Amino acid sequence: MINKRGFDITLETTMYLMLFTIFFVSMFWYITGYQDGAVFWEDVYAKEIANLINRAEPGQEVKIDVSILTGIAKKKGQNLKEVVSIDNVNNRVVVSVRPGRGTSFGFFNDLDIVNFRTELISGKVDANRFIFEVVEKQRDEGG
Amino acid sequence: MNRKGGAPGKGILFFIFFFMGIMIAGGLVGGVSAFYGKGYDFRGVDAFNLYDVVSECFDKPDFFIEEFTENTEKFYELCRLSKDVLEKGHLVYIKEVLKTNDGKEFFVGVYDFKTQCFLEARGKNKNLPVCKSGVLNKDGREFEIIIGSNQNSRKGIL
Repeated sequence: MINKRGFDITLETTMYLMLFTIFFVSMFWYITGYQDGAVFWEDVYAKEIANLINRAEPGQEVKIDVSILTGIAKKKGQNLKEVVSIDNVNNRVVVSVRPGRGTSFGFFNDLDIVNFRTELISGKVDANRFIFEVVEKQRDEGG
Repeated sequence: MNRKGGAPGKGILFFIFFFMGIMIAGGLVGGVSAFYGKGYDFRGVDAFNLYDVVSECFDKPDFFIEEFTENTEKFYELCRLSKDVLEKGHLVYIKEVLKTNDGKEFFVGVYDFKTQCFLEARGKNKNLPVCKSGVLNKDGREFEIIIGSNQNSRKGIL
């Protein structure tokens, strides 16, 4: 025979523990995002790269030093190839120094960004740059 | 012993627990935001960049306001601008300056920015746009132009 009173107490305690755990994990997840300035630098670089794209013309190749980003990404265990990417469908720059999370910013210049990559600057240790090429928008002719 | 009084008492305790959780969470979020700031304010740079692009496009010989008031797609195509990006966080507003003050208007984006651009709170409130305005001349006619941006970055799960 189940002790109803004991069951109620256990259920309440379990519920409170679950709520507390959810709360604690959420706060921890939020605060660790700001460690090492990760959120700040994602924001800065997303906007600055969008700025470069907005000012670019088709046929140009652009390079920007992203050593700060890659330094933080290494500490956070992020794959360096995924630190900066471009979403040509939605015209957004996506910067991610934390696995699974990132910051994006839109660029209004309606061009496609191709051959984008992050690579080590030759002759320098731990210095990386993001390189991309700008081309005319590739319209989808299907229909 | 009044056992029936126990149930409402537990309900109140749960409410208090929930309220304290919200206060603690609010304090943590507020403290972190206050320490790290609210990010990099890019509205002015964005607006100024867009102003340069639009005013350069305006100088093109086939920039006809009349056509664009009917079909904004031509504007986006001619000036090589992204409709998806502009419509959400920007304003491009062009109006012919006439003595009768009934010059034709052309705009894309958020029309309300035309008013919000001049609010004093735009410096502190990052949801308000920062704008650049000016006058452009074409074929002996004057056009008032206002470009605004309140675009901010989006943070999320990838």
